Amino acid sequence: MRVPLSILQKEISGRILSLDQVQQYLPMLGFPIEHIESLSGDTLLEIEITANRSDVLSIRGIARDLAAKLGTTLGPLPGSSVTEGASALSIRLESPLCSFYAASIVDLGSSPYIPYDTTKFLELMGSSSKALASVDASNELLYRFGQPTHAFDLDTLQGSITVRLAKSGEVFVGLDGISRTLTAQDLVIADEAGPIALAGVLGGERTKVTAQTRRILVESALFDAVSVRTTAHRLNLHTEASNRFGRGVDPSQVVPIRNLLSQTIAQWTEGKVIAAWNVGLLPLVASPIHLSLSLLERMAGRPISGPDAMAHLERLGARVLMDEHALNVIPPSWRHDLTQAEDLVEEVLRLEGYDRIDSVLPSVQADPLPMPFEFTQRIQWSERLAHLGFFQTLTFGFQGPSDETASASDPSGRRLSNPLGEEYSLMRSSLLPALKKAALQNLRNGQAEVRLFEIAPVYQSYPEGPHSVLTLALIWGGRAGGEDVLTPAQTITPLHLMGLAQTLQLPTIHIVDLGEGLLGFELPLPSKPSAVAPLIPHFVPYSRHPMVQRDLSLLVSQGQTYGPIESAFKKVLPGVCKSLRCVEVYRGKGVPEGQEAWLLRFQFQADRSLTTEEVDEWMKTVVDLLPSMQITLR
Amino acid sequence: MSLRFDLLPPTIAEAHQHFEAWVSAAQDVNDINRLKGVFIGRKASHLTLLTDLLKQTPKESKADLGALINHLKMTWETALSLRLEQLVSASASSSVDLTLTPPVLPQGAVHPIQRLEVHIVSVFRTLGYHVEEGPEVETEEHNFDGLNIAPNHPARRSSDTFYFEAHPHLLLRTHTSPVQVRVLKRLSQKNSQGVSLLESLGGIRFLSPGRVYRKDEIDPTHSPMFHQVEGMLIGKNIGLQHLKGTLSYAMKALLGADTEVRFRPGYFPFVEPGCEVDVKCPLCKGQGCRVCKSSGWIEILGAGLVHPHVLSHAGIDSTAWSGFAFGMGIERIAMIISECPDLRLFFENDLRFLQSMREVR
Repeated sequence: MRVPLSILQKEISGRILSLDQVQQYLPMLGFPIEHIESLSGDTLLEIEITANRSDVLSIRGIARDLAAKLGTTLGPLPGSSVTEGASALSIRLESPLCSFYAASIVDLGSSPYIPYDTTKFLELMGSSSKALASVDASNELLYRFGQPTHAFDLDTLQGSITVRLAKSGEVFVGLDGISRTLTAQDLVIADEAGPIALAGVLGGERTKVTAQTRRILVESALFDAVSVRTTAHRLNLHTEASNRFGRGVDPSQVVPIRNLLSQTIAQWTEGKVIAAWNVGLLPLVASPIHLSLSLLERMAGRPISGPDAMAHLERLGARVLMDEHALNVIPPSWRHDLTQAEDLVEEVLRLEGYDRIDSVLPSVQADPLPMPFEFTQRIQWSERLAHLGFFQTLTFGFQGPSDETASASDPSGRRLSNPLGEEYSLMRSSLLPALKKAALQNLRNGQAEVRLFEIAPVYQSYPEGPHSVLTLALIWGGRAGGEDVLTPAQTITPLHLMGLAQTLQLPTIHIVDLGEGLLGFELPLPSKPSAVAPLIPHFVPYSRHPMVQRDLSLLVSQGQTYGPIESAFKKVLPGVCKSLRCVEVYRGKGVPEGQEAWLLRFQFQADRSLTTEEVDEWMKTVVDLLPSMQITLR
Repeated sequence: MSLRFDLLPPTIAEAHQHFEAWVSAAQDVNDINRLKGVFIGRKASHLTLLTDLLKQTPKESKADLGALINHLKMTWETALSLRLEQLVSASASSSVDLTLTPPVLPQGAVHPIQRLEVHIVSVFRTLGYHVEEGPEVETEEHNFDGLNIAPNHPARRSSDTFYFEAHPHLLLRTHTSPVQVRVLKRLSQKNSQGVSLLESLGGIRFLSPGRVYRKDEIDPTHSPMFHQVEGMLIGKNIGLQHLKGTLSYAMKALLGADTEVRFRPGYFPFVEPGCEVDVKCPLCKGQGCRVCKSSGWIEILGAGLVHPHVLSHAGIDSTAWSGFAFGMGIERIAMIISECPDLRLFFENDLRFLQSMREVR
């Protein structure tokens, strides 16, 4: 909301308001200042308005809150000498969505005068003078007082006026020259030839005021907020009028603004107000809200006296009756947001100042509750993987149909009705597609190796809707090492991922070859701990006797796999052989063509000292197996 | 067939007993060569002695002794060459050129957004808050109705909120606040004695961190997915002073002890009164800069006292219980702390970004 400082000052009578004061008070009243600039000799403030406060969509509305805070009052609305009389044109309110319609007829004089102040003001507001008194005056009053009005060229109207719901398919041509097809939910002002305005949203082309207009029909009305909002949204037609009607205008201003507008136009053009009359009824005064002082004290954290609270509310325009323990408050007609006691507490505290509220830590009797397993698990996994050299990614929860795998659940249950695009149209069934895209992008950026993981929900379709499963996915690929003299370069192979799985004590993982040298796996994380894992495991005694290590160098044919050999050896070895691993595979010089040399390492340990002889015995049983496996000692 | 160690002459048997110990004790190449000479040398070694012995051995023991000799030869040779390798590589490392590029162990990182999330959780854990998580796929009831958001509220529109084609009442939560509704509903459940869970606990305080979705195109300040942390405390006679006390403490713990916090009125349908919480701009220290739009303050979270409609919707007596709630955007705080100007970087997963955002130790 744009607010020129000079106009704000004009609204607050008898008080010079400095920019510093405005900057200090407005944010603390709930209206932060987005931007300040000097423009055309004035200071223009851009103020952020909260969605519930339709009354501050006018400079007078903002001035009212400031005046209340400063303990002063607003100047009165400019008066007018317009007198109401009989209806000069038939206006029928057919729909309850328009409860009240104030009209007037003005004979325009011949003066083309528009005050300089008005032209300048409209420019400050980001609008501009249309060089038509009825339009410029209407716009000025809208910005200053928040009541949208409209002027029709009376001589273009055909017969009587009806405020009614549009007929489905009825076409309306707006001031902007665009034709729009209406539905039976849109409220229109119509003459006998059809709609002449989209109520509270936009005037019509056929009856618009031009330089040739001699007589106008002035409209100042009350339209249903939801109806205006719905039409404006459906037609994507957000106007200054729909913005204000859509949030609710002040019923008490409808007639005074009709009068002010009519008189202003007559004055500027040296014309005359011919008639002014009203159709329908203004809404009843809101019923009082009961505000107990104990509620106020509880919420404020300290007692606030009845008279103090009453004074604040009255300054905001409320009518207040006070008894010993409570206030009965009739909110002002412009405050549609005040409907219950808590709303009034906020008003009192807003004027008291939130800075005057104490700062106290609550003393809570309740014991703290434990942290949930899924949260703790997610944090532990990510820290663990980060320590192992992997980077956690954050990707969006969507994927496109081309990312779907054959095994995924029926995508229709995971489909969004209003996605940002086809590639974001499904809740994902796997984390790997997004992770792969991130990995490829990084390889393209020149990274030699990528180690990425993500922990996020993936979705499965069920009749009642998508179910989420917290899932861990990991991608490892590219070329590791080779960046210093001690770490040889190596291509990431499935064996690397198997080693990682072993390190992480994961059950069997299904390694997916994602192409372009990228390998990955994905596994659902449990929703409950499998067993109550103690913080420190149960102590199992371990051997303190020396470990005996033996290496065996073997010559095997190329193509021989290690697994079966290890199993065969383990079968003949006793349990005290705690470890058997192949620590080196060598081809080349010194090894016959078609063969390779394997270095196997055996480690023995028991609850006693092992003798060399017995270890020798065990090693011999292994060596004895070799001929049958076509393996020779090297 | 087992090895016949009994065929060894006592001196060699004893030497073999000590063999492993001697090998481990060897400190350099000379030690190894000395042992090689004694055990497997070409002249007068244990091995040559045994080979000689084999010649004189009667026929019936010859095979056994031969097997034993083969075994010992292999054992001695491998152990000695292995130890030699160890000693050589050890001496090589002690003479390594220390001006070479050293190998660096691989280092990863937890995503900065999650690190901040964990940090926020840990700050509130000190006040006894636990974590309550909720699903990302929510009902309109939890995301809007239960939070006092009007049926025609603009946020419900399909231009703002993602809905599911086959399940029109389901949506992607637009904030973490529906967890409030879930927890409150659970707390209003009564046991067989008619006592609600809330009454038996005596109150509750929790945080709900998580992903939220809004139908925004991706740009430097918008993303269709981002993270929030919601907080709620329900107890007896809770007022704004408690909200202020809690958030002042938390913001100082989060952003530094010298953090100045300001509370001003704000509006959210599920709280009343509502507030916006600002911190003094950490960049310009309140002098006014581009980031704080010259105001000296930065809006960091929204909060307020829980709206009585939210409590009553969940079945909780709003005359007996009261509380406060607050919510903050994790990316927003991350951007303030890191001075990172572009939200998209947090979701592009570029290793250059993730490496630069690694925890500073």
